[in-house]
Amino acid sequence: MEPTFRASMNWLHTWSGVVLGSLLFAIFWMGTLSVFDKEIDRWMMPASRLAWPADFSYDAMRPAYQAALAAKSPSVLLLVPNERTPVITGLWRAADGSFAQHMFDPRTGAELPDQGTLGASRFIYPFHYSLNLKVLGIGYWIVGLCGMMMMALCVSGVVIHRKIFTDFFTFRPERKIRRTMLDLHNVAGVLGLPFHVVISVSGLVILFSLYFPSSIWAVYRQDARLFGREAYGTFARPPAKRPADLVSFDTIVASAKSAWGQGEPNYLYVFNPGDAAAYVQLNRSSEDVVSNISHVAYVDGATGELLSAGKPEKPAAVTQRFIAGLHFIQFRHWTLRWLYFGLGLAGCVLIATGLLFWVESRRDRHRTLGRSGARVVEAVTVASVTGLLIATLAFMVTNRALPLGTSVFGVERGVVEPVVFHLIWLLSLLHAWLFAGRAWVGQCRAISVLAGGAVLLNTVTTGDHPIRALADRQLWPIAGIDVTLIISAVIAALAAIRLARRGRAGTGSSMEAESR
Amino acid sequence: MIATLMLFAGWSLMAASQPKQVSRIVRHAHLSGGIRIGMRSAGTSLQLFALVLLVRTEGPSFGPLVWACLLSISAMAVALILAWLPRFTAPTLPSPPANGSAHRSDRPRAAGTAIR
Repeated sequence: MEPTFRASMNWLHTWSGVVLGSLLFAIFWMGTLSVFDKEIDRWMMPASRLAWPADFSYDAMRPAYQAALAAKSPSVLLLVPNERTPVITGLWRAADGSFAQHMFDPRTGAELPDQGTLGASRFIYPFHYSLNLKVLGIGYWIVGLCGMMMMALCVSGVVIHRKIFTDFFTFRPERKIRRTMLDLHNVAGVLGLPFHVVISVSGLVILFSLYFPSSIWAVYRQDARLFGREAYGTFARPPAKRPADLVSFDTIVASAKSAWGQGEPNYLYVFNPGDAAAYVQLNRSSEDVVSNISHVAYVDGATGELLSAGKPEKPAAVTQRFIAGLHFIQFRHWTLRWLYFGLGLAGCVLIATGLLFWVESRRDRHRTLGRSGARVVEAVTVASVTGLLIATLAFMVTNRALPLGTSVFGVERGVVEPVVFHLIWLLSLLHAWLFAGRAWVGQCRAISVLAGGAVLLNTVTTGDHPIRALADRQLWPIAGIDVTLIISAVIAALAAIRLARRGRAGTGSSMEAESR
Repeated sequence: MIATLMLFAGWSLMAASQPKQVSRIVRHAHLSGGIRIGMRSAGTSLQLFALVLLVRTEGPSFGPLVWACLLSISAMAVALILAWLPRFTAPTLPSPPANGSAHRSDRPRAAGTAIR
C-alpha cells in the first residue's frame, strides 16, 4: 500500500497504463478510424463509389428482396442507402447457413459485384469493440475492462497531476524527450479529458446488457425476449405457411412514417419473406439527432398496414439512447465527425505518450541494472503504436494491390487482408524487439512508404486520383481518405528524419564522451 | 467558424493571463492581478458566448456537443501555438539572470539551439 492517496493513484495510473496501454491504443485507433468507416469502405470497394440518388424510391430495394427470397432466407435485412453509403446493402442467411452481404445499385436495383473485402465496417469497426475475438465474447469483455480502466486512468491522472491549472497549456517540444512526452501526455489528457471520459463511459453504456446483465436478469430472469418487448417494443409472429408477395416498399415506408412522423428509415428488416404472415421492422434513422433513437414500427408485409409502433421509451432508455448516440455518431454532421476524429487522435497521442514516458523514465536505469522491463515495454509500445499503423496501412494496400477475384494460396482476398494485417503487426513487434530504440525510425519510414503507396495504388487501380476525387462531389470520401494518407505520409517521413537525426546526434555525443 | 474563433480567442486570453505562459513569449512580462482576472473573465465570457451562438445555430442537441468538442480542440491549438511561438520570439527575450530564476527551466532556448 502506498503512503498517500496521491501515491496510490500514481501507482494505479502507472501500472494500469503500462499493462493495458497497448490494448487501449488499439481500441482508440480503431475507434478513431471507425468515425470514417463508411468512407474507408468506399475506398476499399470501388464499385460502391456511386452517386446517391436524391429521388430514391424504396422499391429499388425489391431486387435485393427477391434475391434473398430465392436464397430461401428466413429473414432479410435491407439497409437503406444514404449520403455516406450510396448503395443498398442486403444481409441474409443462405440455404447452406452461410451469412452473406450483397450490395445493390440504388438507381437500378442491380446487384453489384462482390467486392471481396471486409472493409472498415466489417473489420476495423468490430475490432474497435470486440478485437475481432468472438469466442465466448471474450473480446467484448477485454474491451469493457479497458473502458473501465480508461475511466480509472482519467480520474487517477487528474489526481496525480500536481499543476493541472498552471500547466494547462504547457507543451515544450524544445525540452528533453522525456519532458516533452510528459507535456504532450498532459496536454492531450487534460484538454481532451471531457471527450476521453464521455467516450469511455458511453462505450460501456452501449453494451450495458452484456457488462451488467444482473439488472435485466433480476427482473426478467432468462427471458431476454420479454425484456426486448417491454424495453424496445419488439414484435414477432410465426409464418402462416401460405405464400404471398410483399406490397410496395414505398407503401411499407409510408405506413411506418405515419407512426413516427418526419424522418426516413435506416433499415427494413423483412421477417417470414414470401409468406402471408410476412412483416417488416423499420427503424427511423438517427441522422438528424444526437441520440441513437429507436422509433421502431412493424408493418404487415402483405397488406402494408401498421401492426405495431414502439411506445415512447422510459427515461432510462432515453438516457441510454442519448449516451449511445454520443458514441455511435450516426448523425449527419461533418464538423462533428472531423472533431471526433481529431479528438480520437488526441486520445491515441495521450496513450502513446504515456507509454513512451514510462519507457524514457526507466530505459537507462533498467539497462544499467540489467533489467529487461523497459526494453520489453518499448518493443510492445513500438509495435502497438507505429506497428498498428503499419498493419492498418498494409490492410488497405493489400486491398488495392490484389485485383478483385484473385486468391493467394487458394485464399480469397477478403481473408488475405486480415491475415496480412495480423502478420505485419506481428512482424512489427519482432522488428521492434530486434532494433530496440531505432525501430521507431524504420517503422515511421514504413508508414510513410505505405501511406504514399496506398494513394498511388488507388490511383492506378481505379483512376480516382486525389485531384479528380476532389473535383467530383461523389468522390469526396475518397479524396478525404487520400488526402489524410498523404498528410500521414509526410508527417511520418518528417518524424523519421527527425528521429534519425536525433539518433545520430545521440550516438555522436556518446562516442565523444567515451573518447574523453 | 465564428464560434471557433471565439473559443480560440477565449483560450488565448486565458493562456495570456498565466505568467508562466506569457513569460515564454513576451519580454519583461508582468501582469497585475486585476488584469489577469479581467483577461480570464473575458476569456470565459467569449467561451460562453460561443456556446450561446452554437446552441442558436446548431440547436439544443448538437450545439453543446459541437461546443464541447471545439472547446478541447481550440485549447489544444492554443497549446500547440504556444509551444512553437517562442521559437520566433525567443531572440527578443532578455538574457537569463546570472543567478537564475524560478522559471529558468521554462524559458525557451533561442531558435536553432532548441534541440540537440
